Amino acid sequence: MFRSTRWVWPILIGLILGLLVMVYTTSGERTQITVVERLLRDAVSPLQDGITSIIYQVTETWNSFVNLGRIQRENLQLKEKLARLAAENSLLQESARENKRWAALFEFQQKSEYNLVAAQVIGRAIPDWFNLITIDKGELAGIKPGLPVITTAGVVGQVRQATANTATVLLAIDSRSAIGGITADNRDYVLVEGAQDQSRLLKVKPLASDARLEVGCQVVTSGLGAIYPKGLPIGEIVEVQEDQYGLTVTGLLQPATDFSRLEEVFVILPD
Amino acid sequence: MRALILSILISILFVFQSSFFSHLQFFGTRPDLILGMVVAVAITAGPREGALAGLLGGFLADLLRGNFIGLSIPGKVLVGLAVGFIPKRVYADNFLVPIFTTFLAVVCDQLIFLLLGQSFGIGQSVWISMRRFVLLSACYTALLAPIIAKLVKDLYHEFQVRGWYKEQRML
Repeated sequence: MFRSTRWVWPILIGLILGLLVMVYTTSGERTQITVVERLLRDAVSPLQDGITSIIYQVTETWNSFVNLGRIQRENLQLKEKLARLAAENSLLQESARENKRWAALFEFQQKSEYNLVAAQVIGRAIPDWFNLITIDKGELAGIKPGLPVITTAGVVGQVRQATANTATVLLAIDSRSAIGGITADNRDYVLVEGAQDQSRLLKVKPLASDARLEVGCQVVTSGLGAIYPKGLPIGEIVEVQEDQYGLTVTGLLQPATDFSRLEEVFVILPD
Repeated sequence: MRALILSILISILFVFQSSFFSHLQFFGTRPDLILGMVVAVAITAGPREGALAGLLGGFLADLLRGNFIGLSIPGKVLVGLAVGFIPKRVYADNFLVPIFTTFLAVVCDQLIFLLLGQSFGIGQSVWISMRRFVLLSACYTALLAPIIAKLVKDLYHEFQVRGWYKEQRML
């Protein structure tokens, strides 16, 4: 049938017309697809997925390989930057803390009835058991040996030596230190001495035989020694001990000041 | 059987063209592997096989694309026919000829597609498309032509061995 040439043109024209109709009907926006298209796409999609995932993996591996040197350089630069920023951040945080402390000290100084000179601790004696600190204010600021040193928490110690711009302070926890005190509740006079050991607890000795020492009792300066003004917090009694005959009592006192974290102090100048 | 295998091959080439070569673009263009295969079939087996490959290739490509179904057929059929009529001795032992032929075939096919597309509302400018995409795609396809030609040649040799194809073209 098809070998006859008289059928060629009608078939060809029919095919062309059919083709035009097909193109025309599928030229618009199609929301539905035919079963043949659906089957064909479903058939090729696993292969498409497989190739695409292989391509992604190969591309990723290749990019990683190509970018390795750049990434290493970047990593190094970022590490340097991070270290720099961490240092800057640390400095800023430290400045903020210092500002906060100084603000508190300034407020304390303003409200205080004493003539105070604020100073910064710039050194500690080595080894630690010397219990001496060096502050950044000296004779030029009116500081001289014997002046009391305090913090916002309480008594720190006493100036031992002074140069033009520095002073050495003997801390109250040193065994050579002795401060006249009074119990806040019972009003018994006591002597607060530095610890003989490294316990950082002060020793409380009552001056009167009938004095009552109680755990939890606050001890403040008595003002009798002519060094410390009256009423400065020294610490709190944490332990009371009697001698073997029950005649005398002594106490151990937890200082109000944290001597391990001294950074800024005040020296009380004479009026 | 031959048509079925050609259809499968066309589908595989479509997948490669749409996925693999999407990641291996040449100045933003992909090769037209299906047309490359049509040209290779036409070179290997003559105009009738070239036209058959063009018909299958155009139809499957359109079906997989999902719109303007049939629009690719005229260009590919005509290219398959035209290339198939070129005497086979012209191609003998000269790999540059398939490359050049494929380049021209892609340009002609796309030109036909774009011109016909204008009638069906494809607003793509023929000149801009030719300049920006078609020529580059033609170069890319032409570079791959020797590989596709070898693949198709081996395939038709296998068809002959299995008795699915009898050489018809004049040498």
